[in-house]
Amino acid sequence: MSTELGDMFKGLGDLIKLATDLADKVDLSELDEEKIAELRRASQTRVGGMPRGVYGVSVRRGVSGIPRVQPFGNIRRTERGPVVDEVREPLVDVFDEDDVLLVIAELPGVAEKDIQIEIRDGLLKLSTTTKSRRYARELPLPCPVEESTMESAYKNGVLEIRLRKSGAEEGT
Amino acid sequence: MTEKKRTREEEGIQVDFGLGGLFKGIGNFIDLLSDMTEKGESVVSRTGEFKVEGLDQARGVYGFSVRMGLGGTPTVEHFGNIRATDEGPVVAEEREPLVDVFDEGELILVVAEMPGVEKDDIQIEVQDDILSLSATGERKYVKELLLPSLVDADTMETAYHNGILEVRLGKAS
Repeated sequence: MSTELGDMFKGLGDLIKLATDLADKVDLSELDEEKIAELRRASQTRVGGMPRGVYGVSVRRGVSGIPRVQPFGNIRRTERGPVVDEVREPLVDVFDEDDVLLVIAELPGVAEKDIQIEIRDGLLKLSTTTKSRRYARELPLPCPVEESTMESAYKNGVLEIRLRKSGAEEGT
Repeated sequence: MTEKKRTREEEGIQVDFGLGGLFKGIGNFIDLLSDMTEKGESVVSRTGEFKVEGLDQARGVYGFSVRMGLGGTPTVEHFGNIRATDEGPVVAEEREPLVDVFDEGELILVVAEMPGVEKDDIQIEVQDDILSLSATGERKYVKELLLPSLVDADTMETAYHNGILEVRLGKAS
C-alpha cells in the first residue's frame, strides 16, 4: 500500500467520524428566541427557505487501480466560508469503454425534457432547468469525442450518455 | 416542534442563524475532502496498491446533507455506502439514500433519492415511528429512519418518479 493512499483513506475514515460528530452535536444551543422563531418560519416553507445543502464524494477504483475521488453537491467553498447554492453538482461517473465513453449522472427529480447536454472544447456540460431541482456540472472528457454520435437515455433519475471517441471506427 | 428539541445543550457546536458554527465545521470537512481529492488526483499517474474493502466491486459514495429541520433545528444527515469501521472505511453494497422528512401538519412526508431502481424493487415498511426503506435490483439501497411522530401505517401512500420516492403517512391520532 502506498503511503499517500493509505493516508488518504485514513483521512476518509477520520472525515466520516468528523461528520458523525457534527451530526451528533448540532442542536439549538446558543440560539435566542427570536432566532429560533426566525428559523422556524424559514423551515415551514419548503420553497423559499434556505435550500438544503448536500456535499459528498464518490470514490471509485480508477483505470489503473488507483482510487478516484470526485466531489458533488451544492455546498461551495468561498472565502467567507461554505455557502449553500441552489444549483447542485450531480454525482457523475465517466467510464472508458474502448471506443465509447459512457457518462452516468444521477439527476433525480427532473424530467428528461428539462435536461440539457452540451459538448464544447472537450467539456461536457450538463444542466437542468427544473424549478424545484437544479443541477449543473461541467466535466472535462478524458479524450476527444464525436459529438454527433451522442446518445442519451434518462430513466429513474439516472442519465446515461454514450459518446464515440474521435478516430474510433463506426460499428466497432 | 417538541419541547425536547428546544432544550438547550450546554455542549455542542454553536449554531447561529448564519449557521456559523455548523458551517465552520462543514468548511473544515470540505477543506479536508478537497485536499483528499487533490491528493487522490495527484497520485493517479502512480502505480501502487491499496485496499478499501469492497471498492473492487462497488463505487464508494459518502456525503451529508444539511437543512433546517423540523422546528428550525439544523439537521445533518449522512448518506452513501462508505462505512467507518475499526479496520478503516469499508464500501458496502447497499447505499443509504439521501432522505428528507417533512412535517406537513397532519402528514409526514418522506422524500428519498433512490436513482436507478424500479418502483417494484422498493420495499417500504413502517413500524410505530420507524420507516424502513430498501431497494434491490441493479442498485441497492437501505435506510431506516426515525419519524418525528407516530404514524398510521394504513394511511401510507407512495409514489416513485424520476428516481425520487415520496412516502406520505398520516400521523397517528
